[in-house]
Parts: sequence; structure tokens; C-alpha cells
Amino acid sequence: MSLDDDDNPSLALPAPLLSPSSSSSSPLPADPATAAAAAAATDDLTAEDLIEDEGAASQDFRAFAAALQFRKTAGVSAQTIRRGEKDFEAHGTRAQADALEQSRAAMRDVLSYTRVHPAGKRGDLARGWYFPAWWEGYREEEVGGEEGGGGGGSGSGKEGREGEKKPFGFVRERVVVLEGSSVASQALGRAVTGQAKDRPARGRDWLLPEEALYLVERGSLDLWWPLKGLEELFPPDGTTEAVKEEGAEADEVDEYDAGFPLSLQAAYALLIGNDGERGKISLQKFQVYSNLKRCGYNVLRAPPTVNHPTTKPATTTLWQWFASLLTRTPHHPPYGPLVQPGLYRSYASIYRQMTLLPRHVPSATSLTTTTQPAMRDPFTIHFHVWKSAQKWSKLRHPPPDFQLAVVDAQASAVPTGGEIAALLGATPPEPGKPEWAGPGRLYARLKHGYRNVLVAVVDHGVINYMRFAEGRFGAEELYGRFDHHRGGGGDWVGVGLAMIPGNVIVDSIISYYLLK
Amino acid sequence: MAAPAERQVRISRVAGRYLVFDIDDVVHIRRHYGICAVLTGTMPQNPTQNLFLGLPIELHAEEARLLVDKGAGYIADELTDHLSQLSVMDASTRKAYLQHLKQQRRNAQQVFDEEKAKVQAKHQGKRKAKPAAVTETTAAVTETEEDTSLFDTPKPPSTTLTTTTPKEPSLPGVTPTTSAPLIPSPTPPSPAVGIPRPANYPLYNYLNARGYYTTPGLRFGGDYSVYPGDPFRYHAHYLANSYGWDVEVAMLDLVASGRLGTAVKKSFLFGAEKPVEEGSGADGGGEGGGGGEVRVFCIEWAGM
Amino acid sequence: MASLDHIEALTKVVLNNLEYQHDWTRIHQHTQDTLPRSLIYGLPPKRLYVHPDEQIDIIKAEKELGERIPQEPEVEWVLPLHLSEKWSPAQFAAVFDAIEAIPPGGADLEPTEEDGSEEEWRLWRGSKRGKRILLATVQDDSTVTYYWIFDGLVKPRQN
Repeated sequence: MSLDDDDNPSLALPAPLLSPSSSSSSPLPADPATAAAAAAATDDLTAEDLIEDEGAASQDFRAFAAALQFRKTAGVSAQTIRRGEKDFEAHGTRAQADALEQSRAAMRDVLSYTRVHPAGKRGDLARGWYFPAWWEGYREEEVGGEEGGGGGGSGSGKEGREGEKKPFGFVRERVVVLEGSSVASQALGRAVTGQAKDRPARGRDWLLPEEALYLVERGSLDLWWPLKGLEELFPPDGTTEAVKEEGAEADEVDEYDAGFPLSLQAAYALLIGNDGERGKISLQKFQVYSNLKRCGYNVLRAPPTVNHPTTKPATTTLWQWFASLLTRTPHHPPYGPLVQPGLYRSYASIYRQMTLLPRHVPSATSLTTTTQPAMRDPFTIHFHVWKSAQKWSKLRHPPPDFQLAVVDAQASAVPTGGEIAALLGATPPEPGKPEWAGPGRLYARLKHGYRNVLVAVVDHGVINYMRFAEGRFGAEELYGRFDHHRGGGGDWVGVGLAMIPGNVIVDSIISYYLLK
Repeated sequence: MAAPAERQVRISRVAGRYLVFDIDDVVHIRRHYGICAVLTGTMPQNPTQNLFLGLPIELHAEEARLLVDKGAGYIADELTDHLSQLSVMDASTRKAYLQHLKQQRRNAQQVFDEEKAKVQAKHQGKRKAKPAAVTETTAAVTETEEDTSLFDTPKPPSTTLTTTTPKEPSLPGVTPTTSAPLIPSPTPPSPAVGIPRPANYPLYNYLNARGYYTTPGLRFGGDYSVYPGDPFRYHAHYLANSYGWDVEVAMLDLVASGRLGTAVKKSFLFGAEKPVEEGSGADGGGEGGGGGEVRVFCIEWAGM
Repeated sequence: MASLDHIEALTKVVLNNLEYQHDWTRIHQHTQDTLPRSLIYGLPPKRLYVHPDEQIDIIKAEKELGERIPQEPEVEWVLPLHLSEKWSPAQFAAVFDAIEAIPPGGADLEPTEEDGSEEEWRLWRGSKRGKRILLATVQDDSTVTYYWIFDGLVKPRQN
């Protein structure tokens, strides 16, 4: 999936479907054969089909079937997954009815699969224990949280460079402790550092609700309901091996002595909640989270809002003052022609007189003045999203590639100008690639905008991603180039313009629309 | 659409959303009630793609309400049900649940063993230049044990593959999809948890009663995409919006939706429920669930 | 709703547009007590609407006959509107309830078979014709856009 704006906008939405395998460095092991098959399935689809069918309702499971309850879809990679041609309406034929029955039977077969965690040494099995209240009382520094900064000295040595700034951890929200390590924990979960040595489960990774549910759903995590306390399961001295040994060697009764596995349904019941509920995530946000994860993106909750302008308030005013000098509009008399009659030797002097309406010139500080409204739910940044990259880790990563808000299609409307401005104001400037400089890439720059934010609109499991960018028309002054082209030949044109006031008005209206 | 009345679909209400986890329920309501809803979950067999998704399905509130009204399902508050069952579980329920799990794990192990046996039989067949298809099952039975060492198995060599062995060192773990063995369905199935009547219910009910299937309409900017049958087979005919009877709709919206619909070979449908007039008796239609008549209109570009 | 003057002007714009831009003939303004405003009806120069099922019947009939059946235009209803207006479902329902499917004089244009037995495809121009109106939406620059509105579920055309 590409969330970039460089792509053909008409394909921006189906893109995630077209290229499930394109994110080759997915953090989780992909099955290349099936990914390729899925990609192949889309080969002969029209854009309309894709748009219409992205809603899961019309997936064709027929070729996807042949799965027993516990067997992964054997042979799928060998077959080409094809979506049958759809019809306009029922025409009562046997063939049509049969095709429908096949689709339904295939759906049933595929979805009857039960998640199995292969046996073997207990360490291979990623098991999570649900301890919703463990971190309830934990206090984390709000902005740019430096975990372990308070209780730091003792425990942080093992965890990494002392005093290093780590991303905000949402420790209070973490409700599932991971037993043993798995591939998953490279990108997910968080160990809470700075814990005293006598604390249980020290150094273990704790999962956020969305991380735990995502792992359960993809069959990578066995979520257990504990019957014992965390102290018993993960004794403070760190000899947690005892639990595992016990589980592996003991008979049936002992195996479930400490707790028992939960169903997918139970995981939803425990981990999905309303917005703002500690230790839970809303269904819509979870759907977006897992959608992005399936595409191979790295996704983290956005830390509590950081106000960008606080960094350099002094330069703000200075810069604005300086900018106002440059763009100061000439004084206009209450009547008469907009452009004073006279002899003009450059376009610039004419256009400057025609500039009636203030225009928005994006700058590092332009959106974060005091008049700017604060972000209000649902239009707040909920997730930071990174394209998959080898060097990404959950603790050390570059600034996010995308900032994303999640809204419900029914519960919200198209955002107001203020809501979008607040969203954009909370995102750092991202003016695009350096090679976009120069007149040739004008439209690339305009389309990209100065800042941008993604809004994921969720309608009962169907997700649309929309990109809002801060317009930079104000920064793209076209008339500055006119004088370079024509040397001295321009002056009579300029006079001509000044003589026809009607022309000027139309001109300025157009610029106004463009500037908006 | 006649449905066997006995099956009660468990509609899981989680944080105000309506989900169905049981594949048999999903198949049932698709076949008998014209509800396909949206598969939202990651498919464990293929977790790195978004083309084919898995359980649970998410229902519209109006779909959940329809099932309840037709006596085909009940709403279960999953958090309450789970917490009450998990925190105070009596010994017998727990034992039954764990027995169920154990059986599942044995079944899974059996499937794995059979799979492995097949693979081995195939390999062996190749080695001996024998057609692999010949008596695959018997080959599986006879050849598994001697060939075990050829393949990397996580199990200790002493393990035998028969499931009758009393001591099973490590069965695979299993995550059941539903909590059915843990949380028994209420008997008699009474809609203990109510569900408010959604504003779109009359239009939804009107379409459902006429055999139309709906999916969320977000892709085309409406409330629903409306299909003339199971979306497995058909393209959508309409993008649909539900309005109040006296709600004034901007012509620009109608024109824009009509144009959009025409561009994707669909018609823009909008409908509303006419309020029942006082004293007229609520006998007319009644398919809106509120007794009022539902009127629908379709808009298409005229091509001129 | 808008003032009478405004609606009259609106109707005029649409009348002119139909006559001079779209070459309609037999254009009439239709006023009726039960209608919230005047409708227009008239005859377009060519067939404007063919129901998908009618299309199938026509193709069947053409196969049997072995020749093309010319599709004569039908008299159509037109409702003049301004783009800035807002209409409720109740208002549209009232308009549909006030009209017949075939505008006045429309049936006279249809040749009836002498023996009285009508072919299937022909019924679409008579008893099987549903209620439909052209929404003539006028913008401030006097652009008029035309959209069909149908009473009830009418499946989309597939062309």
C-alpha cells in the first residue's frame, strides 16, 4: 500500500490490495507464495471492481479453500486465485447458482480455520498473559517521555544507553505481558525500564491492546487468562523458566494450572473498548491499525500532543515581520483602477498592485499561531506510521512517514477548515523531496503541499484513507518568472492590462480561488 | 428467505459495535437473512494481505436489529459475559472448557500428523519411482513411523504418532475462534440486551425485505452499497442514502450523488419512512419496522 | 420555498433550454392544484430513457422480427429546480403522487396494434412505464443539468 501522494490518485485506495507483497521487508514473516497469489488475483480486475470489492463482502473464496480446520490453505500457492466474473443480476441459471454456492462453501471452508500454535519447545510459542491492571497506577512523563528517568539508575543499564530519549511508551495502556520472545516483539511491545530488581516480570515486553489483538488474530500469539498473579508467573528473580518447564512437562491438570487460553472472541471482548478507555482500543482504530500492519507498515500510537511552536517563539515574530515587509500590499484608493495607469517595466510591479486578498504562505510556524484551534477528537493524530524499513525498531526510528487520524464515517462529518488546520498544525513541515525544486516540478510541489496528514475514515470495517495537505499556492509566485522571460518586451502588455480594469478583477478572483 | 427458526445467532456487542464470530452463524445469516456484512479480521492463514479478510464480521446496527426482530439472533454484551464467566468460573465449566480445548489440540495434532505422513509418502514415492497417488492413505499409515527421522520434527525421537498414547509431551496450542464452549448461549434465547432502532432501519429493512444485500457505502459516499443478491455474484445496483421524511436535502448533494453513481454504473437511491399519521392506524406496510410506509427514489444522469 | 417570481423565471429558463438547446417540441407548462409548482412536459428529439428490462424485450423482439425496431421518443415530465434548493423526500413523494406516469397527450403518440394484443416491448411505453421525471437543475449562470428521478426501485442502465 502506498500512502504517498506521488501515485495516481485514482489508484491510491486500491493500492493496498494490489501490492500486498511490495513491502518486502515486512517486519513479520510473510508467506511469499500466498502474497504473490493474492497479487495475481488482482491482475485482471478493473479499477471499479477493486473499489467496489475492497469491501470484504465480495471476496471470492472459491480458489482459496481446500482447508481443513487446522490446515493452512494447502495448495493455494499453486492455484491462481481468480475472482469469478460478477453478473449484473440474477438470471436464474444453474451455473449462476452453482457459482454462488461454491463461493459460499469456499468462504466457509477458509474461515473455519482454527488458529494453531505449533508444538515444540515452549519458548517457541508466544504466549501473552492478560494483566489489565498491572500498570494502572504507572505515571509516565507526558512529553518526550524519558522512561526510567525517575527511577532510572538501577535498571536502565541493561536496557540500553542510560538517559537515552525513548518514544512515549503508553505504559498505562499495556495490558498483556509477553512470555518468551518472538519475532513479533521486535516491532511490538515495550519493556518498561527502570523497574526495581525485585519487581516481577522485569524486562518483559508488554503489549498494547491493539498489538495483542493483532497478534492473536494473525495466529502469532496465544492469549491466556491467568489464574495466578504476575508475581507467581514471573517471579522477581527472573527465573521464569520454571513456568515454562512446568507447562511443557506436566500433565493436563498442571498445564492449565496457571491459566488457560482465550478465544479470539474473548480477546475482542477484553481488548476492544470505547475511546479513552484505559487498556483498550476502539474497534475502528484497531481495524485501521491491523489494516496498516497487514500492509507491512510500522505503526505506533502517536505520543500525547507536542506543540511545535514552543520551540522558537522569538523567531516566529521576527520572521513574520520580515515576511510582511516583503509581501506588503500597496495602498489602494477607495475607487479607480486597481492598477494605477502608468508605465510599467516589469510584471511584478503590476501583480503586486493586484494582490488584494491576503494569501497563505506556509512556513514552519504559519499554522501554529495562537489563533489556531487545538485538535479535537476525532480529528487528532492517533497513529504514527512508517514505511517498512530494515533499520526501523520500536525504540529507535526516524520521524514518522505519515501522521494519521482515525474517524468513524457515521459519527463524524467532513472536517471543518479549523479541524484540518489544527491537524496540520500538529504535524511537522514536510515540504517534499529536495529534487522537486524548480519550475518543472511545480505541480508535484502543489499536490504534495507543505504539511500533510492522513485521515482514515472507517465505515463498519471498510476503511478509506484520505490525505489532507496544506496548500502552498502562496509560496509559488508565478509572476516572478514572467520578467525573466521577456526582458523589455513586457511593458506594453503591462500598460494594456492596467487600462482594462475588468481584466484585472477577473484575474484577481482566479488567484483568490487558487490561493484558497 | 425462509429460515430454520431454531438457530440463534450470537451477535457480540463490543464497545457499541456488533460482531459475529461463529462461521456457522455468518454462513447462516448470509444465506437466510441476506446479511453479508464485512469481514474485518486478519486471516491467520495469510496475515500479510488485505484482499481476503477473516472473522469476525462487523454488522450494521440495523442488521443486528433486523436479526433480533426476526427472532433469529440475540445481542450479547461480550465484555460483561466474559468477565463474569472468567472471574467466577465454576469447576465444571472450566473442566468442560479445558476438555474441549484439549480435544481441539488433539485434533490439530492428528491433522498435522496426517499432513506430514502424506508429504513423507509422496517423497518416498518419488524416491522409489512409484506413482505418488497410489493409496496415499495406506502409505501414510505404514510409512510414517519409519520415516520420522528423515524430517525435522520438534518432537523427541521417542514420540509415536498415535494419538492413543497416554502421555502427550506437547500438543499444539489452539486459539478457538469463539468462546462458545466457555460461555453457553442463553436458554431460552431471549433478547436480554436490547438494541435501539437505528435511524436508517426503515430503508434498510425495505431493501432487505426485497432480497437486496447491502455493504457499507463509504466507497461511494453513501450509507450503503446495494446489491441485487449476494455480492459474491453481483455488482451493486445502487448507492443508497437514508433521509428523514421531511429532511431537506440539498439539490447539489442529489446531483453529485447521481453523477457519482452514474460514473460507476450505479443508480443513486434515497429513501425515507413516511411517519404514520395520527388515527390512520398503523397497518400500512409496516416493513420499516415503525409502521410507516417507505418511499424510495432513484437518480441517474439523464445523458442530456 | 422560493418566491413565485423566482419559480416562474426558473421555469422560463428551463423551457428555453429545452426548446433551443435540446430541440424539444410540444413543450407545455403543466399546472395542477396538487403540485407544489408547475411541471413541464414535452417531446425530446430522440428516445431519452430505456429501462434495462425493456432493452431486453426489444432485443428479443428484434431477433424474432429480424429487423431493428425504431425507438421513437416519448413525452417526458420535467421539474425545474434551482441548484441551491433543498427538497425533502416528502416533497418528491408529493410530486410523484400528483402525476400520471405518462404526461398528457403522451399516450396518443403511441400507435396501438389493431388486434389489441400488445407486444411485450411495447408495454414499457404504456402500462409498464413507471413514473419518472427529469430534474432540470438550473445554476446561477443558467447552466441546466438534467437528471432522472424515478419513483421506487429502478435498476441502473448498463451502458
